[in-house]
Amino acid sequence: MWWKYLIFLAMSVIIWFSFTTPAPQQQIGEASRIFYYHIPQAWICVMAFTMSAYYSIKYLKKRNAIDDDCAADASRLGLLFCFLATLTGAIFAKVTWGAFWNWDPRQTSIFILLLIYGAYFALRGAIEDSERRAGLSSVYAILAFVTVPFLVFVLPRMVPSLHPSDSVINKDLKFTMGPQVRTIFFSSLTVFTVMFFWIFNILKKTNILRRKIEAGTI
Amino acid sequence: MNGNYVALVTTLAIWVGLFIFLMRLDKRIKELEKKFK
Amino acid sequence: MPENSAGLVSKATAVYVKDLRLELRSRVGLNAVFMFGLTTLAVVSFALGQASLSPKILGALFWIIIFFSAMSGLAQVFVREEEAQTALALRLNADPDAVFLGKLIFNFSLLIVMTAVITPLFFVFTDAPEAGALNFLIILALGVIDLCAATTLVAAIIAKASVKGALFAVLSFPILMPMLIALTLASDKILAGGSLSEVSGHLQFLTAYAIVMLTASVMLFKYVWQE
Repeated sequence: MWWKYLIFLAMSVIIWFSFTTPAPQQQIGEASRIFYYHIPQAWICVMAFTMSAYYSIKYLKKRNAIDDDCAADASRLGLLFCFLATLTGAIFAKVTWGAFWNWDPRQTSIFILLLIYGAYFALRGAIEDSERRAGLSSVYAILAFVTVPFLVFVLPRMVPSLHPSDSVINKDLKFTMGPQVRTIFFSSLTVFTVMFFWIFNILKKTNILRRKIEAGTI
Repeated sequence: MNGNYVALVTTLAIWVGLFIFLMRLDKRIKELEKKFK
Repeated sequence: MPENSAGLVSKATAVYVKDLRLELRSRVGLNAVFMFGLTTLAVVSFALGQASLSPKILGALFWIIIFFSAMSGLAQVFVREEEAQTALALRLNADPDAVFLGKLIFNFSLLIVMTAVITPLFFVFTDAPEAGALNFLIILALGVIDLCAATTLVAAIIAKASVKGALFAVLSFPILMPMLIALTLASDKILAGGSLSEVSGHLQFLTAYAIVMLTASVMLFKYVWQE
């Protein structure tokens, strides 16, 4: 319990420093601060998707309803973070390169991820029987997950990047990340991850409770 | 510095709000778990 | 239950032949797919008039036509089973791998027939350069394989949904998008007269994609089939 207050402190400190220390990337200027938030969001989005695929596989093997619940919840959170990542990315793109969207390979990937999440929930919404819903959406989650390596690793190599965009900047941030920037960035990454699991756990407990109530073990 | 200040305050406000919301959820869940166990 | 390969192939063929017969009788799938392709092509050609398009746009246009034609015709191979309620009989008589294989080959045949007609027409109507035509066929072949490799499983999934609507396209598109991007980029280069070696990266991508999708589909199909 106490650790939650620590997280509160940590995140507050991170937010404070993210805006008061010099901008991480001098060439881009103040807008580069968004990286402290944008990259962790994107990372969590992919992690959530992986968890969803994991729980989907678990469900197909053991057919425990709670696994499907976890897969769906991981996807819900993933969708939220995906949306946030797309938003912060587009804002950054507008400020830096003048356009909200340019089909840069990473933008394309996050867009496809958004579509996958959307499709997953469209599928769930279209099936009434809960067991069938769980089974079919699990299959889809796994199938969609299989395409992710293509998106993350192969696409950026294939599609010409119109801008001196993400890869250059990422490299810059990594190599020229001063100790201060590095601290803030990795702290942000850690805190975001902890936040994800905290919320995920809340959702999981809610599901367990709901199933208990439904099963009548009141 | 001004734009940063606005962003800083907004982000902090969102964070505080989110944190309080989550803590309340946590409390509710704890109560429910006690009730049903 | 161990199934020897001869049994698998003969069962798959039986499924394929059955679907083929049904299709030839009613021509539902063929109609949908042809009508869509021809209409789109006609509209594009009409709008173009005498103007010609850059290879980039031609490539994109072609795959848009093929993709949406596929969307209109590839789902019915499973949906028909559910609607006619023959799915149960099929489940009892053939094992999942055979069913999947048979339906996969059926969708493949459907696409081959469609593209065999649409592609030459496309070249004629849009005045696309013939320079890269032969190379283009290779990209076309890979594209068709990728298309049915990915969409056959999705078709099986949506066949079991209560509300189908546009679900097939909604589910297929995100999964197909990497492939469509590769196809469009490669088509652009090829139609501009490039050689196959220029697009070797894309060809590798498309081949890898086909293998991954086929493997994943075959492994996942039984879970869909038994719902």
